[in-house]
Amino acid sequence: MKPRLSLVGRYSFISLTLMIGSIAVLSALYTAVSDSVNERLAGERLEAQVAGNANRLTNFIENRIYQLETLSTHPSMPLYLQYPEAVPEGVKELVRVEADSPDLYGILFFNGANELTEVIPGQAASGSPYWDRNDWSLEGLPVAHFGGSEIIGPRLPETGGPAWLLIRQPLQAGTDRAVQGGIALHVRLASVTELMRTENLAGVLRSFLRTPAGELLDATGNLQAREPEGLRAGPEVLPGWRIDYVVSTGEILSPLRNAQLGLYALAGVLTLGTVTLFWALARSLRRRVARLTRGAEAFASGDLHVRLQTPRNDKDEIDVLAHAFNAMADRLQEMIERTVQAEKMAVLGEFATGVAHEVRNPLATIKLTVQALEKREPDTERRELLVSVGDEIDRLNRVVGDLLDYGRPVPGEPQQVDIRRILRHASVLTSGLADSHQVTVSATGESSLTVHANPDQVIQCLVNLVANAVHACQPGGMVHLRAYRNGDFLTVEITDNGCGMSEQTLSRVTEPFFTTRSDGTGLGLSITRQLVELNGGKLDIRSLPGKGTTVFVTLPAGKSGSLNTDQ
Amino acid sequence: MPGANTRLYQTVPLTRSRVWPGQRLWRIAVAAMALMMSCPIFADVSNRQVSPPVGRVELGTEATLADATIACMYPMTGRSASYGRDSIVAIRLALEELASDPDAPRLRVIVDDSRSKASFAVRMAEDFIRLDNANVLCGMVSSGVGMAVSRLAKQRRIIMVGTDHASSRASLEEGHRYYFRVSSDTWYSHAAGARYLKELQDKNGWRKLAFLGPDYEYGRVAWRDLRQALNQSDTRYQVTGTYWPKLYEPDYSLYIQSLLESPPDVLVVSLWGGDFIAFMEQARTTQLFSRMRVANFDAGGDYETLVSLKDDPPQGLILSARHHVNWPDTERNRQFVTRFHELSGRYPSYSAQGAYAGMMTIARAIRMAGDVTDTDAMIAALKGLKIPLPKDPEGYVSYIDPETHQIVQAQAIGTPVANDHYPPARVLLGNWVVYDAESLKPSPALVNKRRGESGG
Repeated sequence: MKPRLSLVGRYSFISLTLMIGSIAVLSALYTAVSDSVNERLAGERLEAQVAGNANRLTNFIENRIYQLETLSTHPSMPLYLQYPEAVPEGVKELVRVEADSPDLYGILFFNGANELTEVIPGQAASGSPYWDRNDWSLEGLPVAHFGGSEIIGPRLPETGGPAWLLIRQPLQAGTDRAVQGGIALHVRLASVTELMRTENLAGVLRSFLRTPAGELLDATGNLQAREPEGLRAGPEVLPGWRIDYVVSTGEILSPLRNAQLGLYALAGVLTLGTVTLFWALARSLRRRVARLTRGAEAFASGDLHVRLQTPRNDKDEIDVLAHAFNAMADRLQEMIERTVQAEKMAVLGEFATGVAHEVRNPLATIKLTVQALEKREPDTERRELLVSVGDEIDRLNRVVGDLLDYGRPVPGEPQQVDIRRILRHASVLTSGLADSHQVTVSATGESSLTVHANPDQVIQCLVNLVANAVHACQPGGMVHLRAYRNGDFLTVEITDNGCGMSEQTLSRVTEPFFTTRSDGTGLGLSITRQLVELNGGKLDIRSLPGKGTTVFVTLPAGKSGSLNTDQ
Repeated sequence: MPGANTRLYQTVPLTRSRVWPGQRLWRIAVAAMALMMSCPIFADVSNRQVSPPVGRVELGTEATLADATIACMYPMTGRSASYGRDSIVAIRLALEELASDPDAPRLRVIVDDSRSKASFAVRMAEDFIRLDNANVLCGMVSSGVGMAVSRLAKQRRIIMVGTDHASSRASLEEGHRYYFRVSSDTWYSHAAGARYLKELQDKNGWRKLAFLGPDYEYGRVAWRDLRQALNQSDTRYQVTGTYWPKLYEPDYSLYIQSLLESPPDVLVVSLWGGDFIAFMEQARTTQLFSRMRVANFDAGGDYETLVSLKDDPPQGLILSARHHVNWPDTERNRQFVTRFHELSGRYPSYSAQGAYAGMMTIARAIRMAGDVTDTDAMIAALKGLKIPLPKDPEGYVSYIDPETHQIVQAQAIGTPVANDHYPPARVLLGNWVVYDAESLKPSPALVNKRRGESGG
């Protein structure tokens, strides 16, 4: 019967459901978290960062303006315009110290015609206009006004040098402030752009400084040849100066998204793999279970010899089940065979008793009559015929006796018997037969060995077996009896070098009425086996055609030292 | 902590004028003791090491006995303090050698902290001239400071001997008759670097070049020197970016990120001292060194920088410096390095050799001129003066170019290799490529061009 839904299929379905469900839950969780991260990165916090950048830049410029005001409002500072050599040393010192700020290249003074009149180099000063003033000019530079200051520039050198800007305030000197000029801080532009660095955002937000001339500078102060994709206009930090920015959350989150896609792909492969695996498992399991089912059905239909193929070592539960099935079949077959045998024996017993009752008495009468006729018969030929009839009556009577013995076996009373005496008795009883067949019978064994069995039945068994051996031998053959201890048992081997038996004969040799001899009843070995088993022993036969046969009679061994053998 | 202009005096050897008469005997005794302690025998026996100076230090002969007063300015505080510290040890070493020569002039050397600020240094130099009657100005690590003091020297007509600042502008565009320099400048180091890069290009075909240098005189001139030297050697290259962090920048992540976004094949860095160490420490946490060759031709091979690499230098570094403890392998260099170690307990940075060269050059010039106050004679002596120095390879003697007043020296470029002969350094430079001095000397045409052009 084919199940509607296999167990494996059910397990597969549950596993797949759990797997896909887990992936779906994890995916939902991941999406929620990544959305949250995205929101944090690209949302309000990002705008706060841009605003922070703008504040930093404005604050930097304001601080420079404050620094510049300290100088421009100094009462002695206008002297730089009119009488530079008359500037007091203290004022010069002040200007030099201010010029040494790490964010400045230096401090510059201009006359009313916008011409450079004096330069005070700072720590970062280099090249024009400090060591020469060639090619140094403010011409063409954008000017933005912020409070009372001019923001001039930026100037981007063509030779790859750093860019700069000027923050300038006016200076007035002379009566009625007739002499006009200005003082300017020569500011590193990189000091401004570096403030656009956005910590902890790992490049999500990239800020650029848009100058009044429309140039775009990155945080290192370098000019951007191309505008980045997705550039957004940001807050203005000074008139004409703006922070533009690019939010590249996609770039930052792309590894996460790639990982997400990778996870999905992996989950897909795993699901496919699981389905394939379960399918293969189910197929294999169904095949094996079907074999079990077929075996069970065959056994149920009466084929007691059916057995399942099993590996030597159990690999899994199915193998264990197959082994258990085979063991069950073995025991069941044995039980059935024993029952059949017992029934056969019971039938045989009743039959034998009936035959004995119905046949023996008339046989006895016939025998007596034949003997009386024989004695009175003068004719020799007729007397010989009557003797032959008597022999046949004896043989028939013997057959009936055997039948009776086989059908209604009587257990003998076991005793402790010296095996030596039993062997001797058996040899004596079979010596006549052996002599007539010119077969030598010999016996060996330890003299102290004893057997716990009924001596008459044991002798009967051995006589039967020796007689069979003698019959199997050719003239000149040998039959040897050997007794030896075998644990708690004693074994007697009856070995001949006779014709031996085929496997087929051997398998049936102990069946009642099976014989290979024309004059045999086919009950000798059956009775022998029966008697051995009645005495708690067992009978084994090994034979090779053309080589001979060995019969092993194993009986319970007697206790040494208290023999009662003299029967 | 004393201010920049605070004058502190060490007891060894201490000299000041205008002291009470009874003190004279005491001072002579102290001076004699100091002289004895400066002798090698006593120095070895006492096994003392020079403690780090803070503020003004006076060395050598006392003012009244001195043939010349040399006023030096070095940074003794901040990131570049080690350069000043090593320069002072080297001056002691030079004075020790001069003391053993009876014909050598007796020098009085004053050293003070320039704080790497031009304003401080200019004021300090003026004080040296006015108050200490300094005959020669010397020293300066920062090129900005050196240039500012050089202008003062020109203005005050006093000889200045640069020992460490390296901007080639000081001897070319801004060169004047009073200015001399006794350590390699940015031209020499980058001329050698350009030739190294040319040879590297022949091997691996690099094309893209980026430059990262401190945003002040030294970095700007280094970049210009490199470009001119590359053009001179017909090297074809494409500049992917120039980066200008400020001097003593604490964080280079912005620049490293930008370099990684548009990576060159070769990055030439002209940061020095702690700046270069900080840059490398930050860069080695990224893929920068695996994506480009990084070279520093002027100061990257400094001993302290090599110590900072421990035993795990970043891959692909190409380095050089104005002096190396393990090159040239000459008796003079070994002796200098060993004696320096005996005096200080450490091995010298390149600034030490410059300071040593400065003292020996000034002493020799004074001996030749006869009188340090005869400035013309001094200038004449300094022009073309030959002076054997630790940096000289076998068979070569450094000399001052009479045209540019710049010392002419060979340059060796190498890569870090395991070497524990000079602990605590675990790597030193090896695989040397040496460029001889004469081949690096700027051509007259270049000198004329530089002296006629502007910009920077």
